[in-house]
Amino acid sequence: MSNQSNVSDPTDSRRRPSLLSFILYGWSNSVWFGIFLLSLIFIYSSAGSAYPPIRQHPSLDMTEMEWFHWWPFLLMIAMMCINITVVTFKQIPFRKVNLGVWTIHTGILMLSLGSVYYFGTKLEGDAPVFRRRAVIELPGHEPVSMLIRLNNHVSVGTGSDAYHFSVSQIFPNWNIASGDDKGKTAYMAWIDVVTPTQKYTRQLLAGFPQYTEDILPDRTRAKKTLGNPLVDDTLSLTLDYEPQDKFFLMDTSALHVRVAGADEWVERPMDDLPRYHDHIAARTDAILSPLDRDMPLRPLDMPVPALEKGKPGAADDPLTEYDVRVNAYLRYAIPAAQWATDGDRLNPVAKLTLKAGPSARLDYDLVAFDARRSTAEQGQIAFRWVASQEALDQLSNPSDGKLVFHIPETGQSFTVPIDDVWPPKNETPGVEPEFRPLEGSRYAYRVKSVIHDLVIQSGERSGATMSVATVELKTPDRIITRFVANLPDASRDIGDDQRMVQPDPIVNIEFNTGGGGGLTARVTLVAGPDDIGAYILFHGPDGSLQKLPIVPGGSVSLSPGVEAHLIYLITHAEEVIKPKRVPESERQRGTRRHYAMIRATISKGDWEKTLWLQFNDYALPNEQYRISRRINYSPVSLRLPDGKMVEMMFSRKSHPLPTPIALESFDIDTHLGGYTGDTNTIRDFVSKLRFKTDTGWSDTMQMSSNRPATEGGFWYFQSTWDPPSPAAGYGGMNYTGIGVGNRNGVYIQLTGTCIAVAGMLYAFYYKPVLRRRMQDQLRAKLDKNKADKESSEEHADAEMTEQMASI
Amino acid sequence: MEQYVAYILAGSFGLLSLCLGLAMVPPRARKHILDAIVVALIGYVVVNKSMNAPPKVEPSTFAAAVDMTPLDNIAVQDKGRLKSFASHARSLMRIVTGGHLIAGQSQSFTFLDLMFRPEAYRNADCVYVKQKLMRSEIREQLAENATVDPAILDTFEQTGLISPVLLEHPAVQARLDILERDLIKTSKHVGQIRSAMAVQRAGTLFNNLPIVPATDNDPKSRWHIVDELATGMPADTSHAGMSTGGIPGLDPQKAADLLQGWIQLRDAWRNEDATAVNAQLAHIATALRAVNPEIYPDIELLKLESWYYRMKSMTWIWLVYAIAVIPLLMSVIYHWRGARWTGILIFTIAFALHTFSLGLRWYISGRVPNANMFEAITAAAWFGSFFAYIIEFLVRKTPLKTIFFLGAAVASMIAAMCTHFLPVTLNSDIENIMPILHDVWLYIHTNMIIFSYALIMMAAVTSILYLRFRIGGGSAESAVLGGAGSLIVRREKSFIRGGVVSFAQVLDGATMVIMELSFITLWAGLVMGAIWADHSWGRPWGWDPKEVFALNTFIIFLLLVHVRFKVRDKGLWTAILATVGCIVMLFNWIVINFVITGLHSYA
Repeated sequence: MSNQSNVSDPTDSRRRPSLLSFILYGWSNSVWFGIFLLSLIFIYSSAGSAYPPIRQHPSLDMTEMEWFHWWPFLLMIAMMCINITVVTFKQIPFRKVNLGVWTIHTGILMLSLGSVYYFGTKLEGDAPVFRRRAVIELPGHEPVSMLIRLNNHVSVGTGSDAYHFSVSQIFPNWNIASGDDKGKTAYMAWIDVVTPTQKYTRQLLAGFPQYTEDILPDRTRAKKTLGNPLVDDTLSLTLDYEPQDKFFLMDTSALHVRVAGADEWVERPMDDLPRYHDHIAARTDAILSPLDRDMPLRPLDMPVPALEKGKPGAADDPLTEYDVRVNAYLRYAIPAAQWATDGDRLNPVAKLTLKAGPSARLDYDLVAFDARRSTAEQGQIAFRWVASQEALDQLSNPSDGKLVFHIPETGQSFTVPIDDVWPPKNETPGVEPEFRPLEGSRYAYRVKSVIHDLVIQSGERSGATMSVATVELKTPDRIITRFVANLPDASRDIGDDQRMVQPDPIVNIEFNTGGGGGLTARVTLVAGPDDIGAYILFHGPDGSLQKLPIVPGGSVSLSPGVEAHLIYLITHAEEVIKPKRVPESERQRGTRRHYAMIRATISKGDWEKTLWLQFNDYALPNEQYRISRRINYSPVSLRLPDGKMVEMMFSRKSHPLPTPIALESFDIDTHLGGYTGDTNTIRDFVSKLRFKTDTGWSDTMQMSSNRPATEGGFWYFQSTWDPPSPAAGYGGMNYTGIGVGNRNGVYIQLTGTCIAVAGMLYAFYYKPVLRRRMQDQLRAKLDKNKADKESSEEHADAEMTEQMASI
Repeated sequence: MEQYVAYILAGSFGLLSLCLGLAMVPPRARKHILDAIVVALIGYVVVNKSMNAPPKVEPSTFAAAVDMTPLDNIAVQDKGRLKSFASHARSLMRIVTGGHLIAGQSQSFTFLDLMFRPEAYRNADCVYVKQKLMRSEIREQLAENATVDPAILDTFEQTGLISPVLLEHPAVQARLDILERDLIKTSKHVGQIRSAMAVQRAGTLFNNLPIVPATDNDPKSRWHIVDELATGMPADTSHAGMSTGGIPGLDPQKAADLLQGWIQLRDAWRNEDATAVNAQLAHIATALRAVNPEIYPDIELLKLESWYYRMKSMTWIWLVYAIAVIPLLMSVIYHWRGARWTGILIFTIAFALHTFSLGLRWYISGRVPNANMFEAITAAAWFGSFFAYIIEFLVRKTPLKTIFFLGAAVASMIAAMCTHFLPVTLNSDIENIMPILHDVWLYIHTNMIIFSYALIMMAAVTSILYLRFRIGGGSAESAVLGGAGSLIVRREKSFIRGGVVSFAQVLDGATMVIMELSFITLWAGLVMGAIWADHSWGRPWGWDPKEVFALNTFIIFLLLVHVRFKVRDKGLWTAILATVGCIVMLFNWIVINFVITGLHSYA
C-alpha cells in the first residue's frame, strides 16, 4: 500500500480513457475515484450528523438512521465496494507482500455485506412489562383481572350485589418479617374490597400466596380478630404475571383503532407521517403563540388505509367502510379545549366575569352539566341550566330537601330537612356547621355542601344529572365523609387515602332533593332555552335571593362596585380539543415525539368528523396502564353515524414478541447509602424476566444494564424503569422498560472488522519485515553475482535498485 | 447551533484568508509573519488571563486562625460515595462560586461560614454567574433599577461574582424569569444561577451534609445529618429544621456529645472565637469517627482526597509539560544534546506527576479513572506520554529521536491546560459511574479510543512542525518508506539508518509512525465500541453523532493513506490530512460532546 511502484494505475499512465468509458466502467478501477468517493462520504456524513437541520429539512424529514440509509449514501457505499473490489483485483498483485491490503479490503467488503443483512432485517423497539395483575374469582362470576397500579379499580357484579376492588397501596420491596421466609423481600399489593355488606383490605405478596391475608378497617388483621386470615374464603384474589406479547418499533407511526371497549387495537401504519416539521394548512388549525405568526404553512393530506383483508386484525377494524386521512401534524403541542357553538347536543357553557373596580377581575369558565366545572370558588359561583319556567321558579323559591338516615344495626330511621343546615343561615364565615345528633343513635351528622345538576360522566347513567350532598357522619370512633347522591348506588365515601370508595354499610343515607333542588351558591348563573333567557341569582346584602336578567355581552351590578359580566353563553357547546403549538424556544429538549399531535378526518359520504390525537409511546389496552408522567394513554372516542362508538389512538407500529414475556421482579442495585432519588446513587437496574414456553414459564432470566437477556432470536435490554417519587408518595418499580432488537449478520460484520484489523497489522508491521527479508535475500544473490561480474558494477547497482523497488 | 456553524465558517474563512495572504508574500517573510502571529496569540492569551485573574486577597484574621484540617478529613456520604469534607465542600462551593475562592478563604471554611453566618455573605460577591451574556443582562437590570456603584458592576462583569442581595433584586429576578423561558438559548444559564443561589443557602448546605455514620454495618444504609441527632436535647431554636426522633441505634450519650459539640462550634464560630472553633472541630472529627468506627473510611484515604483537591486535581502539571516543550523543541530543531537531556528530564518529571495524579485518583475513587470528560482527557494525555517513552526507546539511535517526546509534551500540555482553565466545564469531581457504563468494555473501548486520540494529537504536532518547515521554504522531501517500515527496513531503503537525513524527512517519518498506530487503534477502538454497543444499546452502530465523527476521523486517515500513495508531494499532503484529522477529532470531542447531544453524552 505504501509502495507506489507495486501497482500501475491505468488512469494516469499511457492512454487517457475517454469520458464515456470512465463513466461506464473506468471509475471502478481508479484509486483517485475511490478517494473522491471517500471525500463525498465524509462530507455527507458530517453534514447529516453535525448539522441536523439538513437531514431534518421538510423535503427530507429524516432521522439519523434514515439519512444513513438513503439511496445516495447507499449508492456511494455500493460504488465504494465495487471500486475496492476492482482496484484490488486489477491493480494489487496477489502476493505475500500485498496480503495486508487484500485482507483489509476483504474485511471492509465483508463488513459492508454484513451491514446490508443486518440493517435490512433489523427490528428494534421497546415495550413496558408490568409486574403483576390481580385475578379476582368470585363464585358465580367469570374471573376478572386488574393490573396492579395504584388506584386501579374494577367491579364484579351489578347493582347492590356488586363487589368493588381497588389497589390502595403497593410496596415494591416488602420485607417479610416472620415465618420461614423471614428476611426475604417481595412485591406486595393491598386490594381494598367492598362487598355489599362489608369492607376490608386484602394483602397479596407476589410469589408468596401463603401470606395472603385480610386487614380490617380498624387496621387489625383478620387472623387476630376473626381467627381466620381471610374474611371471605370464597373470594379468591391472586397475583399473576402480566405478560407482554408485543413491542413497539422505534421511529414508526401507526393509527390504532378499535370498537370502544375492545381489548385489542387494530393498527393502520402511517409510514409517511412527517417527523420534525409542523404541517397545518391554516393558522386557525392550531392555537399559535405570537412568536409563531410567521410559521410556514404546509398542508398535509395523507390517507391512512386499513390493512389489507386477510391480514391479522384487519377484520376487527371498525372503520373499514370509512375514509381515514391525516391532514395535520404538530411536532410539539399541548391539547387545549375550545368551545364550538354548533354541537348536536345540549351542553350549556358560559364565561362569567366578576369585576370589582378597574383591576380586580375574576374569570370563570362554567359548564352546567359537568360536575367539576359547573361551580367555582368552592361552590360559591355556579351555573345551572333550567329546562322550563317552572324549574326556574322552583330555583328562585327553593323548597326543602331531606336526608334519610337508616341504621341497619338497630333498624332505626331518621329523616332530617336539609335546609336546616344548608344553605347556612346567618353563618359566621370560617366556622363549620355543628354536628347534629341523630337522637337515640350513636351517630351525629352535618352537611358540608350540596351540589345540584352534576352530570354523570360514565357508566350506564352517563349523561344524566344528580344532586349530591356532602355529609359527615360521626360514629363513636371516627368520622365518615360521604357524598350522598339522590340516585341509588351513586353515593360514595372518601377512603383513607382520599379516594372514592363504596359507602360503609353501617349507615345508609338517602338524599331526597325535594322540589327543583336548592340554590347553594352565592352567585348563580341560571340559563334556559331562548324563551326563558339567562339570570343572575344571588343573595343580596340582606340575605334575600335576588334575580336579575342578563344577556351575553351584558352585565349586572351585584353590589356597589361589584359587577357580573356574562362574556358568552353557548347552549349547544361542543368541546373541541385544539392543539396549542409550543414555540420552538419553549420546548423541552429530548422529549422526542412525546408532545406530537395529528389531526385525523374520518368520513363516509356526507358525514365527516375531525379530531386531534396525541402521541402515545405504546398503544396499551386501557386506562389501567397509564403511569403519570411516564406512560401516557390518550385515546379519543368517536361516535359513528350508526351510533357505534370507536376509539382511536396515535402511537407506533407494534411487532409480536417471539414469545410473551413476564416480569418476575425489578430491583435497583445502589451505591453506598442506597437510592436517594439522585441517579448517581444507582449502580444497576435488574429485571428478572420469564419467557412463555410450551409448558408454562421459563426459569427467570436476568436482564440488566449491559447484560441483555436473549430468547427467540431477540435480545432484550434494560431500557427504562418506573422510578419512585418519594415526594409524591409514589413507590414506583411497577414495570420495567425493555428494549428489543434482533441482530442478524452481526457476526459477519464483526468478522469483517477483525479481518481488517489483522490486515492493518500485517500491512504496517509485518510487511516491512517481509520486505527486509526479501531485500536481504536479493542482496545476497546480488553480492554473489557481483563477485562473478566485477566489471559491470554500475549495471548491477542499477539492476539491484530496480529489483528492490519491485518488492 | 447556528452560532457554532457561524464560528466554523468564520474560522475557515479566517484560515483561508491567512493562507492566501501568506501565499502572496515571499517564503522567507512567511515564516516570520507566521511566527509573529503565533507569538502574538500566546502573548494575548497570557496577558488576558493574568489581567482577568482576580486580585489575591488575604483571609480575615479569624479565617486565618481557624484550622480546618480535622474537619477536612471527615467523611461525607454524597451521591453514593463517601468522600472527604474538603472534597464535598469543594464540589458544592464550585456550584456557588464557580471555583473561585471567596475572600482568600478555603472552600471548606466558606462552606461552614455560609452555613453558620449566612448574613455575612448577603452583600459579599460570592455567587458566580458563568455566562457573559447573563452578566450583561444582570448588569443592565441593576444599572437601571438599583443604586449600585458602577465599579461593583464592572468587577462583576469581569469576574462573574455577585452578591446574593443584588441577584435577588426584583428587577433581576423578573428578567431571569423571562430568560428562563427560552429553553434553547438561556434557560440553562438561568438554571446555573438559580442552582448557585439555592446551594449557597444555609439550609441547603446543612441538609446536604450527611456526616453522622449509619449505626448498622450495611454499606447501603443512609448516613445522617446533624439535625437528626436532636433527640432528648433541649430544643435549639436557631435550627428551624431541628426535629426529634434521633438516630436509631446511636448511643444517646454519643448523640448528645456530638450535637452539643456542633452547637458549641456554631456559637464559637459566630463569635469568631478561633481557639474554641479549633477545639470543637477536632472534637467533632473524633466523635464522628467514634459513632461507628467499623464502617468509617480510612483516614489516610480521606486525607489523600482532601490533598488531591487542595492540589487543584494536579491540573497545573500543564506548566511542567510546557517547560519541557522548550528544550525539546530546541533539541529537535538545533540537535543540542544538552537540550535533549534537559527536555527529557523535565518531561519525565511531568510524566511522573501525571502518573501520580492518575494513580491517586484511581486509588481514591476505587475505579479506573476514565468515566467522565475530565478523566478521559487526563488519561488520553497520559497514554500519549507513555507511548512516547516506548517509541523513543525504539528510535533512540535514529534521527527520529526526541520528536515523539516533543509531540507528547505538547499534546499533554494542551490536555492539561484544558482541565486547568476550564474547571467548570471539565468537572473534576470524583463521582460514581452510571449503570450503563459498568462494563469491562468501558476500560477497553474508551482507553483504546482515547489512546488513538492522543496519537492523533501528537501526529498533528509533527505535522504542524512539518507545515511550518515547508512554509519557511523547507525542502519537499518525505520519508521514503514512511511509518513503521522506516524503522524496520534496513539500510538504503530506510532513510533513517544511513546517509544524511533532512529535517522534512524526520518530521514526515515521525508523523507516519504515529499515524499508522493511530489508524489501527482508532479502527480497533471503533470496533470495540460497536461490540459494547451491541450488547448495551441493542445495536453495534446507531449513527450517533459521536460515532459518525469518530468514523469521519478514520475516513480522513483512510484518505491520508491513499492520497499519500498517489500524490507526488507526499509529505505535504500527509501533514495537511493529519492536521485535518486532528481537527475532526477535536470537533468530535468538543463540539459534538458539548453542543450536539447524543447517546455518548456521558463523556
